Parts: sequence; C-alpha cells; structure tokens
Amino acid sequence: MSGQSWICVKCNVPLEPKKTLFSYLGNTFSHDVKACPVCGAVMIPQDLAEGRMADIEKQLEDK
Amino acid sequence: MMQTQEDTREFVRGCVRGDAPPCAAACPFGVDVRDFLRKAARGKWASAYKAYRNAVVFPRIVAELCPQPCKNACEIAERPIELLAVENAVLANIKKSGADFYAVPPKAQRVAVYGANYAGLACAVHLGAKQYAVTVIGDFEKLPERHRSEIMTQIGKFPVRIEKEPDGSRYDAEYTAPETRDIISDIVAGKNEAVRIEIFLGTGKYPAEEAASPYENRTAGSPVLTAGQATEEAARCRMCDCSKCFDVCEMLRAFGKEPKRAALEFYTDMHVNPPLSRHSLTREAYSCSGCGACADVCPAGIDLGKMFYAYRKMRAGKNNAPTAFHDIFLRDMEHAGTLGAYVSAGRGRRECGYAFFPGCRLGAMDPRHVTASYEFLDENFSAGIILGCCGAPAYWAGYEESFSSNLEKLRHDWETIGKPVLVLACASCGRMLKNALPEMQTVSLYELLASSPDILPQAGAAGGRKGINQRFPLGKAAIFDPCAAKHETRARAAVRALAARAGIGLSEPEAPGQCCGNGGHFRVANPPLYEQITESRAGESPLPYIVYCSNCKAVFEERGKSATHILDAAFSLDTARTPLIEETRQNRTKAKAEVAAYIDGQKEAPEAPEWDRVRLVLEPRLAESIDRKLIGQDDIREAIFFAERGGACFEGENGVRQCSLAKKALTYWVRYIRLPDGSFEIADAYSHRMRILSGDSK
Repeated sequence: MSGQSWICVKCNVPLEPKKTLFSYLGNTFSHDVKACPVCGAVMIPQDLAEGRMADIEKQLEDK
Repeated sequence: MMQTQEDTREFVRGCVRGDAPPCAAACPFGVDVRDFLRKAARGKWASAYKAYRNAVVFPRIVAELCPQPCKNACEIAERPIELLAVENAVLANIKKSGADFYAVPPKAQRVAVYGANYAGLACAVHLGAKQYAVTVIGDFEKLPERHRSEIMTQIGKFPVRIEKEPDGSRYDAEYTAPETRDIISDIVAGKNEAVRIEIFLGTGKYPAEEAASPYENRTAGSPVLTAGQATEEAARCRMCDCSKCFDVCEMLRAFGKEPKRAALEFYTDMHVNPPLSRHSLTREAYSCSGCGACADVCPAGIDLGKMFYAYRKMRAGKNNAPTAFHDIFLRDMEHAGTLGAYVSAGRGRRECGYAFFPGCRLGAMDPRHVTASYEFLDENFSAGIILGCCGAPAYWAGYEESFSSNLEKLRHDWETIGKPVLVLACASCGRMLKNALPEMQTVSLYELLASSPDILPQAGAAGGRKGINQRFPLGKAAIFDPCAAKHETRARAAVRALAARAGIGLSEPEAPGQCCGNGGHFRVANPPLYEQITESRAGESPLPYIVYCSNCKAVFEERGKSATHILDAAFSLDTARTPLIEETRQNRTKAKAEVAAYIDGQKEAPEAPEWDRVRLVLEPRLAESIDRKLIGQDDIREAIFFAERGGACFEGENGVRQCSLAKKALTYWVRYIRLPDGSFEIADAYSHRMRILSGDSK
C-alpha cells in the first residue's frame, strides 16, 4: 500500500515524502507523508490512518 | 448548567460512595473497619494491628472495654461480624506490640497535659508520635497495672514524660484532661484534643471542639478466635460501600471512578487549557448512554447521566469537544431535518388533531414502518405528519444551539398544522420532547395501534383490514424495551398487547429498560464498551427479540441477533434486512417521497445528490466491514465523484486509485479500481479524524 509507488493523477508526477502539518483538538504536529511535489496534495495510506494516526487521535481525545 | 465547584459538589450531594460504612460510622474511634478486616483476612497481623492502634491509641485497653457499637450497625444483621473478636485475635497473634518510631525531627514546641489519666495519656501518645515534647502531670500509679503497661508500650520511644508535680516550666500548649467513668470516651476525647492542639501549634488558631458522636454502650460478649477463625471471620465482611449505581452500570464499572471524584474532575476540566493541561473526564463523559439506571437506584436520586451531558455541553461550549464522537449521528440528524423533512396536516387538511412524528430513525430503518403507520393514522385519526428529528443526536453531543434550533423548527411546524397531539414511534423522541417542549401533547403510536380493533383482530372477530390481519409467524420471543420507555407503562403494555394479538409468546426481561448500546451515541467514543454492552444485551435471552425502537433493532441485527420490530407484527410485514448507512439515508428520503405522494398525490423521485449516479461494485462482506467503520457508501460515491472530475487523486501500480473527502469532522479515503463499464470497484475505505493542515510548502 504505502510501499508501492504512486503518482498524482492531476499533475502526473510521482509522489515524494513531505513534512506535513496535522492538527487535532487544538494540537498541531508534523509527520512525513507522501505528497505531490507539484500541487501539494497529500496521500494518507490506510495503515497510517488506522494505525499510528488512530492511536494519536485517541491519546489526544483523552487529554 | 454547572459553573462552579459548588455546583458540581451540589450535584453529587448525598452520594455516600467511598464514605465510612455503618460499622465505622458507629465506632467512636472511626476505625477503618474495611481496611482493618481486609488486612486481617489476609493474616497480615502487623498491618492490621497498626491500623487498629492508629485509630484507638491503646489497643489492649480498648479491646478490653469496647462496647461494640459496630455489631449493631453491621449490615449482616442475622450474624454481625465479630469485629472485636478479630481485634483480639490480632492482638494475640502479633509478634511486636507498640508504636512505630519514625525518625521525624523533634518539634521545638512543648505541651503540658494535666491529668495522668486515659484522656491525658491518649493525647500525649498522639502528640508524642508527632515528636512534640509532652509532659504529663498527675498520678499515673492509680491506673491498673495492665493498663499502665499498655500505655508505656505505646509511649515507647516517644518524647513523653510522666511527672507527679508541675516543675514550673513554660509550655506552648496546655491541656487539662477530663476524667469520666467512661474510659473509651476519655481516650476518644484525648485523641481528638491532640489533633486540635497540633492545629493550634501549627497555625496559632485553636479549632472549635466538635461534638463527640454518641455511641451505643452495648455490652456483648465476644468469642475467642484462633488465627484461622479470625481470618475467616474477617473475610466474611461484605466491605459495605454504596455501589448501587455501579451495580447497574457497566460504564461506571469500566471506569471505576467514584461519582464524587467525577464531579470534582468536571470542575477541574472546566478550567483546563489544552495542550498545556489535560482533561480528566472526557472519555467517561462521552461513554454514558443516559439510560437513567443510576438515577433510578441512587438513594440520593443522583442522575450521573445529567452530569455527563452537562459535561458534553460544557466541552461544546468551550469549543473543544471531540467532534468525531458524534459526527455520524449529527449528519444523520441534519439529513433528517433537510432532505428527509416534510410537514403536512394531511390530505386536504390545513390543521389536524393528531400528527405522526416517527423520528429520524423509523423510516431510515424501514420506510414501510412510516408509510403503513401513517396510512393507519390518517384513516383512523385524520392525522397529519411531521418528518424530522427530535434533536436527540444534538442533545447527546452536547450541542445546545443545534438542539434548540431543531426544536424551534419542530415547534414551528407543529404550530403550522394546528398544534396536534404528536403520535410517537420512538421512546427517545418522547423523552426529549417531554423535557424540552412540555406543552406538546404526545401519545405512543403503539397505544393507538393497540386500541384499534382493525390491527391484528382476534380470531373470530369480524373483518379486519386487508393485509394487516395475518398471524405473525413468530412463536416465542423475548421483549426488549428501549431504555427511554422504562417509565412509559402505557406504551409498554400496548406493545405487549399487540404481540399477544400477533400470537407471539412473549418472555419478559429480567431487567427491563436497559440501554441496547445506542443511547447517548457513545459508540464512537468508546468502541470496546459498545462491544461489551451490545453483546451483553443481545445475550439477555436466547429467544429472538421483539423491539419497538429502530435503534435497538439495528444494534441487535448488527450483532447477528434476530430482532423484529413490533410494527412488522402489527402490519404483517416481512422483516426487512438491516440497511447499510447509505441505505438508511435513501430510505428516509424514500419514506418522505411516499408520504408526500400519498398526501399530495404527486409522485416525485426522492431527492438525491449528483454523486448518486456513481456506480459502485463492492463485495457484500467488504460493504459490511466498511459500514462498521461507520463510513457510508454515499461518502465513497462523493469522494470518487470529485476525484474523477479533476480533484486530488492518486494512482498506484495496477491502476489502483486513491482519493479522499474531507467532511466536517472526518476525512474519508477510498481505494478503488475503475472498471471498463464506468463503475468503480472498491478495494477499501477508511477515515481519520486529524486535519491535514498543509502539505504544500511550495
């Protein structure tokens, strides 16, 4: 999933890792995810969304 | 609304959870009986001795004279715990008597106690343990030898001196010890005085004397127990504590938090400022179903559900509520109030005496429940209809504004059609409206159905309307009352009457009116608790359930438990398959379109968004698994619709595409393959709650 190579359909260029800002419940943090180097669109793979991101979301909800 | 610490304290006033049990309350020394017996039950003689000694100062004197008021207070009335016998067994089994000496630095202050009696010496020992230099003045020798020995044991290495006469020194505090005939009272008085003297020496203020609590002077014998018998006797204690709310609520048990502590946390959370400080009550407050079971059993009538809802309101008011917890339910409410909304006094009428208010879920689960019920109400009661939502999702989320604006709309609709009596199908609507719009008269749909001879006519009765007089093919079933109908005796009786007429042999629940798991919409906030509660409710009876709440039905069927709505029986409908999330929204607009066609005579296709035309191919098991993640296929269609029209979209190897849709609280992602016929095969869908703030520094 996240291992394979992806292209941005709109810009037709391969995605590259990019430091991306996230926010949740008033907290902001950054993480490297794949994004289009041209339009900046960010791609969140399933294992990240349902794994680490879900864990952090739960931690922040308990704060 | 709770604003101050006083408000939150007031809310739990009368809660005795964590307070002293009756035995300890009856004890003039306030011995922590539970703690003492727990230690004794494990044979921990030294620590049991310490707990006892710290409370009574002179264990061997008190154990000799104790009138055992605890025995009368014991909740095991038929055979009270022999506490004194256990205390004596502890004294018989300890290896070392006497006080523990800690290397506390000696205090500079000196105390004089006049009277080498029980009160004076109890005061001296207590202060001596805190390293105050105490001089006791009086005739110690007049006490019995065995008592003197115990007193000297307890004085141990403490800086306590006993003198016959005063030596003219100056003291920082002086105490003239009383001497009554009641040695126990004297020891209590001396110990209490020591506490006041300590406060005085520390603060310069002498606290007022509190009236000693009277205790019953009962002289009862006490058996002699061996060590083994004593541990057994101690283990017999029920460790009395009020646990009535915990006993009826899995949620309270799962968190294990004392109600008084929860109230304190409510207050502290009001002033929390994340990310600098953290909330303490979030998960628990958002895990309550609001079923009211705690309030029903609380001797002080405390409704913890109300506190948890006030908490959600407080968080929403502070604009830091975890919005994802209630998003799916609020979106449903919005749908019911817009695309699903409809109001009419009925065919050819401007006003009506009755109006059907099925709520947002009845038609969503099965549109026939709305249309069949409305036809019945139209024919028998010339009823109008209001399709919309009572606002429960907003109430449960703590969104006051959204709740009241929804109510205003409902009130307006109701006034427009002549303030009719609202006919309710959902007990939760009833509970919401009763509290928020008490001027609205309501009646249960099931009562009206049961009162009609046309519905499920008895064998031999004349006629009966076409299609509604068949016997319902369900032999035995268990009834599951929704939590909101717990106190709705008439609706409950009506449903039972309908079931009986349908030939269903009903078995009654052991604890009626428990929440199925949907109440309070805590599913997203606490998935493990949702699992636990729905599993336990589904397992209350091995029989299939008869329900009269669409939410109960959905909850049980998702668990694979057969649940039939009483309306299926009343109207002899085949029970429909539980709809997926997207289908519930489609059902709602379908119900509206059919009701409008029935009333206005104009057939119009239900309103549908543009992306409804996006065709999906999904394995049934995948469709179910995506639904359980609370992702609707309409959101998947919408995401693909925009991605395929030039929105952000990614393509991997083998032509797999991935796109997203950011909604108010969640961002949905879909992985799919474009099929040659223009449809889209879904590989999976998922969501996250975080917002992506930026990925485009370029």
